[in-house]
Amino acid sequence: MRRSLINITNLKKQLFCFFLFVPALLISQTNIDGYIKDNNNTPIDGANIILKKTNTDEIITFTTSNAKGYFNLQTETGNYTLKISALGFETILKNIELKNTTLSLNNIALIENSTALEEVIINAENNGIVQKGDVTQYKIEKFLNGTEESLKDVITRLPGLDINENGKITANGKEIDRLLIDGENLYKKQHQLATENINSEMVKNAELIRNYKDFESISTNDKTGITALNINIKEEFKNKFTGNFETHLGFKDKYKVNASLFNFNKRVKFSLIPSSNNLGESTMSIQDYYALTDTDVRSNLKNESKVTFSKLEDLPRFLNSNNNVATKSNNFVTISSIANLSDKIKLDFYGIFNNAEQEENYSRELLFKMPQTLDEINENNKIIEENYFGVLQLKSIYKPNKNSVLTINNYINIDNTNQDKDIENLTNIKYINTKETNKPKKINFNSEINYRKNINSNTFTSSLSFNYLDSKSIKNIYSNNAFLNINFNDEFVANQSINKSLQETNFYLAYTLNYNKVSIDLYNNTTFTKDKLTSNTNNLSSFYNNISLDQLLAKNGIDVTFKISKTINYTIGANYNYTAKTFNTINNNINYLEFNSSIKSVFNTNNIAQISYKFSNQTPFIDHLNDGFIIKDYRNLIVNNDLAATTLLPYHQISASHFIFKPKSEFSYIFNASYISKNKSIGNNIINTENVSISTNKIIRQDNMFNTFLFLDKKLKKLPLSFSGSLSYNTNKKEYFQDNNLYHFQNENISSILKVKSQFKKAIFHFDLGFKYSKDNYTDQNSKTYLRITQPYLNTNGKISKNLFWYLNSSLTFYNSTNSTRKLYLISPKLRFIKEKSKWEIYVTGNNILNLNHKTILENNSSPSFYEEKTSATLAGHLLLGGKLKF
Amino acid sequence: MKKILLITLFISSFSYSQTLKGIVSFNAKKSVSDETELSEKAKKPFIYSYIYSNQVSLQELISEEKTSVDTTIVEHSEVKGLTQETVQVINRPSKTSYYKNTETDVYRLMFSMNAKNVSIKDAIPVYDWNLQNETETIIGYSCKKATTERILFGRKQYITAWYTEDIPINSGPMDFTGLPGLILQIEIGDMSVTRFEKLKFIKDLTSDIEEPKNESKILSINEYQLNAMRGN
Repeated sequence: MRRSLINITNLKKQLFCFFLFVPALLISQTNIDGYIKDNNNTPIDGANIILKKTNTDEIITFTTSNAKGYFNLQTETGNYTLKISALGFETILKNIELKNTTLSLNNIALIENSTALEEVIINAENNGIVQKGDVTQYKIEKFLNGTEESLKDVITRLPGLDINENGKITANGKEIDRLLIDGENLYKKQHQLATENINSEMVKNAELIRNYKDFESISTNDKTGITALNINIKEEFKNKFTGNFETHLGFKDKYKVNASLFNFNKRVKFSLIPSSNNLGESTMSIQDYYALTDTDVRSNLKNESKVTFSKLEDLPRFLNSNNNVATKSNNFVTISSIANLSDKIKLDFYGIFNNAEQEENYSRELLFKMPQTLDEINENNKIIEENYFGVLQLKSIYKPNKNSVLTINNYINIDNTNQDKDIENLTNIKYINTKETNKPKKINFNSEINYRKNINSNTFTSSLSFNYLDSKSIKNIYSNNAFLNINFNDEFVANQSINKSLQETNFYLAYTLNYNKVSIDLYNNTTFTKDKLTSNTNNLSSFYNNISLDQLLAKNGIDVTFKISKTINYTIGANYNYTAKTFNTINNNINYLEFNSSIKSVFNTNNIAQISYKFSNQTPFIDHLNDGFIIKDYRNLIVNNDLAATTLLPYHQISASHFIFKPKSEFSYIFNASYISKNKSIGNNIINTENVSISTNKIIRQDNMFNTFLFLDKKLKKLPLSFSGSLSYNTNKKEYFQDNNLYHFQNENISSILKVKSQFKKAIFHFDLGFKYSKDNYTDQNSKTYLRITQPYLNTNGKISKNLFWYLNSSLTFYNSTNSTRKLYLISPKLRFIKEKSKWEIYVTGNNILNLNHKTILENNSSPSFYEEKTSATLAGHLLLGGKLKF
Repeated sequence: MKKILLITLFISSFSYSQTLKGIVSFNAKKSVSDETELSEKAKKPFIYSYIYSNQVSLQELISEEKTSVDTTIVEHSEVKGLTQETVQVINRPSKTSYYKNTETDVYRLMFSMNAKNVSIKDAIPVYDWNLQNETETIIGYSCKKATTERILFGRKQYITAWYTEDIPINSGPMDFTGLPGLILQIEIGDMSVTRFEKLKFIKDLTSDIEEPKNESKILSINEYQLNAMRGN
């Protein structure tokens, strides 16, 4: 009795307290409820509903749905993120603002998740790799050892991923198609901008996505074949400006300044990277140049890629001079921003400006092969080049719904070069001094509008593009002697100007029909081009060109893909081409057929084999059709001989590939082979005389190419080591003419890399030991030469203390050629000092420190008509002191 | 026509049902009765199979072992003739299964130890989880920490659970549930760690998990605890 009395008083107290707080509770307490269903309106039982504070991971409250799919949550008013997930369905994240006392979400439909339905295997060894359907997730902390500085070092630690010699990221030996930063393709093909500028501590995790679909994609086919690597950024580096500023100074006015500024926001991602150096480090490689200038590489359309190899347009020299330059400086800035204005609109802006200045000094000896009237040439060359290169690109994507997308892309590219060449020709003890100035100026504008729509399960694609290219090139040659067999009046001067313009309008229409076991692609591609080429040298008639080539190409084709079984797809296709060409004033029509077929076996995401065959045709470009001489340099002329605008150049291509990646045992394997056979191709007839070498375009009957590549990578289970090896073999067999006589030559290249990398987790010492081997063989009717390069290398790094890291890269390279041998040592040490929680890093960097003074390098090259021995000045090594501020 | 519609509806509602299979290990660190370290034999982990499908989960012991009695004779060399005999009984069950059905709220625990069968049936125990912000990666999943406490056999136990939001299943090892995601690891005080060692998702239409059959009188959790403490 007494007991219950106490209870009653207690209860009263409690009730009193309760009522005291009721008003306050009424204001802040709120209720959310809803029904969770699937697409068929069936309730989902046992779905997880989690309420989190907006933009954090902090869970406020959670519940599960009942048998009717109903859930009910109580919380305070405020801003929240509602996370709804159920096994086998895609997770929904909803930002909600709770104001009223109740929020009824009614029916929430979850979409069935196809990847979760596929088999998911997680490894008991907890090796840090999780394979979920097409996504391989790397928990990067499992692989890092603390010496990593930038994203580059993080990527090279992850099994299956690496960075190749061109700075591009590879997955299982194959270059990835997209690099995404927090899901956005911010750096396009220029992976090195991301890998060298994003600090390792900014990286949260990495995921390799096979069959990636970007925002533009509306494809109903899940197997897109695109491989993407997504780098997720840690929360603390998001929604604010972050980046770093780095400066290095060294002896002999060597310097390097590099900065980066990022803002990774949910809606807008921004990156600005300026850099400047005179160390010879170039931010742009030849691949980047092609990726940025070739329209077909840039656009994602199914158009056939055409690569224009023209002898008239030389690439800027800074792209291919590697380190065989006396001096080189580079100024670069890139700005990139991707904005998701809404769920439907995305803007993608990309801009690059590059300025490169360099000086090359080399002397060369050309030994002409028998039987030619000319024996040898000795030259000293000095080339000073300055190049300005700029690209601006703005892409707008409008995706009103899941089934249609509109993209508009505008692109402008400017590429200007000033080049001064000073050539001393010492052949026959007669001193000839020639000065050449070259000023090629190119401007390219491209505008494209593209619309795609899914109609039921079928896809409709259309695009209209306009391309305008204008290139002007002026060449002046002064000499103290007659050259090129030109009849000079009083002084030996040749002034050549070449004007080239291209206007191209392309219209593309395609319709893809998807049936259960068959899918059919119907396409039409119509291109109208107006090409013009004029050239003039000293008003000489044999050097005069005024040619125009107007073309209408209509391609109609069909591709049929049969799904033979769950894993095997077979595709067969044919297209009919109608071409109307007007070369100068002559009209001509040609019609031809092309075929392709392939068989593809997808055993699973990480085991794919494919064999394909393609028969295709090419026709000559205007650059091949000049009937007047065009001057390449002071002793080389180019002219067309027997090529016609309507010459058809057919080729057959057979390729095979197989790839396996086992995330569980960290093993990857890749095999590629391809063979291209051309019975009719563009070749050269070369006539070398004392003053001039004339190269004429001529049809050849044999041009075969074969290449194969094998790659293996394995991380050991018992020992913390990973092995990888690759082997590639390429050969090219081709006809050529010399003094109108037919000859053959064959080029063979075999190269291989073997390496062992340590995978210690907490050791103070890490290494990457490897051996590179390559051999080039050149064979023609009267000579056989080779160049063999063997290089053992050892890259080590480690920790001296918590704050001090060291890096030491060393290599020894042996060059063996038919008649010379030499050795090259390279040692590049580096010290890095960081203080914990400090924003500063200090560096002492040495590069090639055994060669701090200028040195020369010897090269041997063989070509059909001559053998070349070239001695060039190389870039000196450097020693720098630098600092980096991270913010 | 209606029938077909019904059938298709029925099929489609089951077509996403996924089955989760896994391996759970139980590692004892200290014995329940006292604070002494365990012998090597007792330290040997228990390995269970785990299956989850449509709100029902079943955890069954794979490693079948019987209780063993070890006798250790310690000779004391300093005192001639004195030997000390220690008898250590290691109780290992030969059969254990935990069954949970979150839809019908049924919890079953069956085990047989020392040739005695025990059957328990009750509602699924409800724990008042205290969510924390600590995270840890377990078998590749990012897990969050949650803690609670319970009283078992008259003793208070502090329990730590690590659950992952990436697997949206309200389940876990043994009798544990009630977190926004599958519980991948359970630590009971500093005595034991129970965790998933392997997980595998299978697209499966037919894995119906059956409730274990009774092999003895059904007890509630409390009845069993009372019986056990009385020494039955």
